[in-house]
Amino acid sequence: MAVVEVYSHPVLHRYKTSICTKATIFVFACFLLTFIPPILVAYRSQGFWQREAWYREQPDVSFKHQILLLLQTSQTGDYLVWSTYQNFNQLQQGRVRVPLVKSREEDSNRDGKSDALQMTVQVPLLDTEEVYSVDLLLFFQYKLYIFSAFTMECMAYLQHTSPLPGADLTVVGDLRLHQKYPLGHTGRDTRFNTSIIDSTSIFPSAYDLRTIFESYSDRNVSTNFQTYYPVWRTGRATGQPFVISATVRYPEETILYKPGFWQLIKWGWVQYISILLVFLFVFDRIKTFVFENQILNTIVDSPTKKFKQG
Amino acid sequence: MCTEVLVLCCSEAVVDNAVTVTCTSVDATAGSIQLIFNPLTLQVNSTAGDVTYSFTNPTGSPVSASCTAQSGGGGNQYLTATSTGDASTFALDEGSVQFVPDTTKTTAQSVSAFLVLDAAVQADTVTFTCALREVGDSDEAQALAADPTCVPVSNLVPTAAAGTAPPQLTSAGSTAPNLTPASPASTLTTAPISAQTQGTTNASSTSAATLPPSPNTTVTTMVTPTTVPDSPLTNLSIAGNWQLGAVELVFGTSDIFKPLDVWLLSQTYTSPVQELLLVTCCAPQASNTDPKYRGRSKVAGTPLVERVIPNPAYVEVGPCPCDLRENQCDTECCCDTDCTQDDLDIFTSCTQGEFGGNHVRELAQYCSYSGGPQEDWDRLLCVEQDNSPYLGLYYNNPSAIRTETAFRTTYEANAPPYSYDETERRETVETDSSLAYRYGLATQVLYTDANGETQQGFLSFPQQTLSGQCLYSGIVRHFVDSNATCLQMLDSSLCAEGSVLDAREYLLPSPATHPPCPTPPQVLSQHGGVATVPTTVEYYCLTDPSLYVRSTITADDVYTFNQTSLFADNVASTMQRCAFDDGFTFPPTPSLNATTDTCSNVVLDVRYVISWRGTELTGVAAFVVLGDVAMETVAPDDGANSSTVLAQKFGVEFSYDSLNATAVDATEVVDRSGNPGYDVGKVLLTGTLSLTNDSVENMGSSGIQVWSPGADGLCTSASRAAVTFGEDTISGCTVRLAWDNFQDCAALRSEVRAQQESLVTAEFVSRGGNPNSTFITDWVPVINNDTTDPTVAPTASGLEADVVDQLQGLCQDIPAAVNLEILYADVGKENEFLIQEVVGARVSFSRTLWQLQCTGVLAAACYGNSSVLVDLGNTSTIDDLITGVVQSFYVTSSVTFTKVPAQTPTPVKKFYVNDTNVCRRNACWEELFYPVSMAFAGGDFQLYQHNLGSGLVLALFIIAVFVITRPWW
Repeated sequence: MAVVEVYSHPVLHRYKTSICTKATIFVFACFLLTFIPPILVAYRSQGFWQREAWYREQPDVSFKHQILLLLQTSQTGDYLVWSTYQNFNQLQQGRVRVPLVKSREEDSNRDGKSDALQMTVQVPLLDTEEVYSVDLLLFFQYKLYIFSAFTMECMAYLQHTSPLPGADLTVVGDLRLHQKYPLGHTGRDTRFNTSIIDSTSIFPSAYDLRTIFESYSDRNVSTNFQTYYPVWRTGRATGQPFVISATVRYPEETILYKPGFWQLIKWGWVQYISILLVFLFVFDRIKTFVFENQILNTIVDSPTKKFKQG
Repeated sequence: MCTEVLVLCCSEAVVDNAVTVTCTSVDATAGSIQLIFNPLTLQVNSTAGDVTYSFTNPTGSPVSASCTAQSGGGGNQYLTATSTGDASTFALDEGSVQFVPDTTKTTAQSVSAFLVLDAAVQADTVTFTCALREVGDSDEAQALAADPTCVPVSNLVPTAAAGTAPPQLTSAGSTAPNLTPASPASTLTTAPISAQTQGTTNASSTSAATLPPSPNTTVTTMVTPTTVPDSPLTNLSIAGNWQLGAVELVFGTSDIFKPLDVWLLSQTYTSPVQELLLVTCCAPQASNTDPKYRGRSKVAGTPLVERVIPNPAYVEVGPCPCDLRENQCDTECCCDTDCTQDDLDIFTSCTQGEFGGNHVRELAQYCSYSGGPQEDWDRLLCVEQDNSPYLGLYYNNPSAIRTETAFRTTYEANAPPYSYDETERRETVETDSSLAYRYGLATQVLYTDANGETQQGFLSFPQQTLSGQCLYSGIVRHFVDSNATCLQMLDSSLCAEGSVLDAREYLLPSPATHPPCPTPPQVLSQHGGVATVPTTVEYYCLTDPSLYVRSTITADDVYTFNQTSLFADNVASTMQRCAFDDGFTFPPTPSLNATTDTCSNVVLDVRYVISWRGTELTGVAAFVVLGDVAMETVAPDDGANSSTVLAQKFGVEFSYDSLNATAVDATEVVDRSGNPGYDVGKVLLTGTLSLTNDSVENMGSSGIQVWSPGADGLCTSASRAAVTFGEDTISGCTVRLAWDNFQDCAALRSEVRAQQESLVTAEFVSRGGNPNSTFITDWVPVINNDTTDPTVAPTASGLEADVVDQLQGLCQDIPAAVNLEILYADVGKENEFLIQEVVGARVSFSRTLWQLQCTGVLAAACYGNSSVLVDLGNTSTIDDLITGVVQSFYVTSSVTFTKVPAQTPTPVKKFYVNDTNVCRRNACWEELFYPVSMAFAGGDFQLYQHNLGSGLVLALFIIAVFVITRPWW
């Protein structure tokens, strides 16, 4: 007649001893060896604490409609400037040449964030004036939302110099984020939401490109304009303006941040527990072996024995 | 049939009775050589005898024969049954002959070679006929060598053909002497001698049996050089400039070689040539009684036979690396097989090392390594080398490719994907042959070439390319408008007929008949057709070409420290038709006037307007501006002369020909700014209320404009530019003001205000790019609530208005900036394109303080220059001629486009507002199940569905696992 297993349950053996025995010391040592080494293994194998993490976000950039333009019109130092800062214009007097500026920001994927700035600047020039160099500063408001609510004023610096007198300059580039340190994982961050150029100043030193760039590059977070394919066309016709066509794209950025406490703990725990499981298994077998075979003497409280006694 | 003799040997001398010997073929077949032996009787005491035999079919396969002997008279010394000797084989005896050298090159006037037989002639003489031929290449040489001339010299016939040569027979096994041409080197077979039993006839030794008369053995020799056309075979000894020394070579007894010379007839070469000569020699049938060298035709010395390199896996291809020269002994190379023992004896030593052929490459890992530093473990665990017969894997030896077909096959199978092979055509050819003009096709013209024949060509016109350089050979493409400005530095050579300054180089009026020649090119009405369209050309003569000449005015000339400037009065300039322009006269060519140093009739501006209807062109209207240009320009500041730089302008535009079209087409062409809505970058359409107050008059873009500064940036030279939809704009110009201008602030304010308001004259802005004038709902009004009286001074805090204006050197509230603010909204979507419409417009003025700076370099302005004071009392315009130190002030205009919601959005609770549209900290509730969220799919609905499906399958699987395993119940 066939035998069928109808039910099963584990049997619990209890091993008892007094406090100051070898068995107690053994169990205590096993406890330490089970829980301490996984920490050491996880930590010493590097990458235990997630010190920085990254995410991707397309910044919310808007052009502040602030421009500073400098053209070198001869190789002997003649220049023309224009700016949306009226105090600057007033300082420059006869060097100011007001251009015709057209700009628009387009949201090509209609996600509510501008994707690029399209801009043309037509600088009227006399036939005797020839452009050898262009410096164009564009100012933007830059916002990030996902982790740290980050806001700053930033700048795109378009620069091109040629030994040949130009007719127009076409640049296409990206406004890239430049981070020296990771951002925070939460909170509002307006450390750099300050004016790059003090437009209220009536002193020329406020508009010195050296000081502007120096203080700007001191920032922990800034932007730079990256372009690899500037096209400098020569042969400006009589009476024609010098034309700068710029496309400044606002690409999605990889942003470094410092993870918060719970994210740190979570990833540490995941690593620790996975190593701990191995140790638990191994030491469980060792302890079972030691106590089953009574290598260390203990009082065995076995349920089977009770049945016999009973 | 031929009779030959062979020697029969007996194992012992015949005793008692004569012996009759009978020989027969053992294995004769129909295709073999047929032997007929005559019986032989050996007398007593003889041990050998001559068996005569004859044979037929000498070209047949070899045959064996054996002989038996029978003692006569009842003797039993030799019995037929037991005396059979071993069979002897009868086969063809082949003589061979070769040239030494078989191929040679020479740069001298003669070439020498030897014709060498394989063995010395033994009996009859052997006669060869040699011929010298010129050949074009080695292929031809090979063909000729395979088919040599082979006739006796005595009956030499041109174009003699060679016959094929049946071979000689070599027989062995019969005891016959070699009768015919003795050739020890020819195939000799020695029959083994069998065990001698009684009465056995032993056949042994050798002979070369003779053969029937047969054609020729030929030998060819390639001798350089040649390349003169083939000469007929009238004279075998002369080919081109070369002569063969002897046509007939006769080998006497014991001769084994004969020299053969080829020399140059006369010194006729003045320049290096390369010629290829072929010498063929053959032994003709008719002149050779000895058939040995009338044997099978053989070609020696064919230069195109490639050396086949054996498979290096099994054969060592370079067993002796120091053996550098073929067939010669290399000095000190002991392994060179060409070296004789005598050579080896005089070698002082053998070349050592790799080049001596004894090199074994040693690696550091080998135990036998002795080549310097070695890692420690290399010594500990060194490698013992075991020579294996396996030499490795090798590629096959590819043969050279000699034919075009083989080359192409091999090349196409392995052609590289990219190469410098020129595959593009260099000619200007259009592949589209349709009669219809389509977008981008070249506009074609019909022209008369130098031979008076009409040809189809392309309408070329200067265009700009690359970084702005002018291409004068650019082709006008259909429907592609172009504009180009080309700079030319004038010099006297340019001021001539046929240059780019010549009006006759451009399209000419088709009815032009004066002078009658040449016929001007005409534009074709159909692409690739023959019908032409009429061309009208209007010539305008400019007296002042300064617009097209690079000016020499500098900024210092414009921005003088004491020259004021305000705004300009508009003066329209007109151009006059040239006097000669009657539609029938060709324009004059440029000519240089030496006295005035002026080039007259220079082309300054060319504009083609090409009319089209359907797929055809209907006409060309050209506008050409001519002018007289000074060759040199004088700079105003320093009076220096420089060559005039001319800026020619060229333009092409295509316009719809509606003059004689159907009524539907006949409406005037209006440039829309989009339909429906506005397209970004198109001009903003404006309008004014019509006189009847019930409709709006479309003003195009002229109603609202912004400043477009002139070359010097001053407002006196500024013009106006159209406002384009969607593009924020700022522009302006400069005014130069002196102390006196600030005397009357009301007048200054009024002047600036008037100029600024002249930019905005429209009362309405069109909502979309295709407005209907009669529907006032297609228009939105321009709000302008700035009704400030410019003549009234502003009231500053605590001061009377008049007091403010009485302050010297400054003026308050100048409307220096005019701002146009336009609101637009997305009102719909059509084919995934947004429809954007203007919903509101407002004009406002920004007022600013204009104040002279009264310190520093420009401070002189503040101290006034009352020498010239103009009464400004009754006029609103300020005369520009006020002198005094001036400062710059700026008048600007700006346009701002602001997007507004099409409908007022319904208010939402602040908790639900997500204005940034991002998932904050990547932990928002919307993306709790990120893998199956739309955010993960990136807006791709297909991908979203796929992800969702995958998620559901996974969930189903998990549920199934739980249901089956039932872990908790």
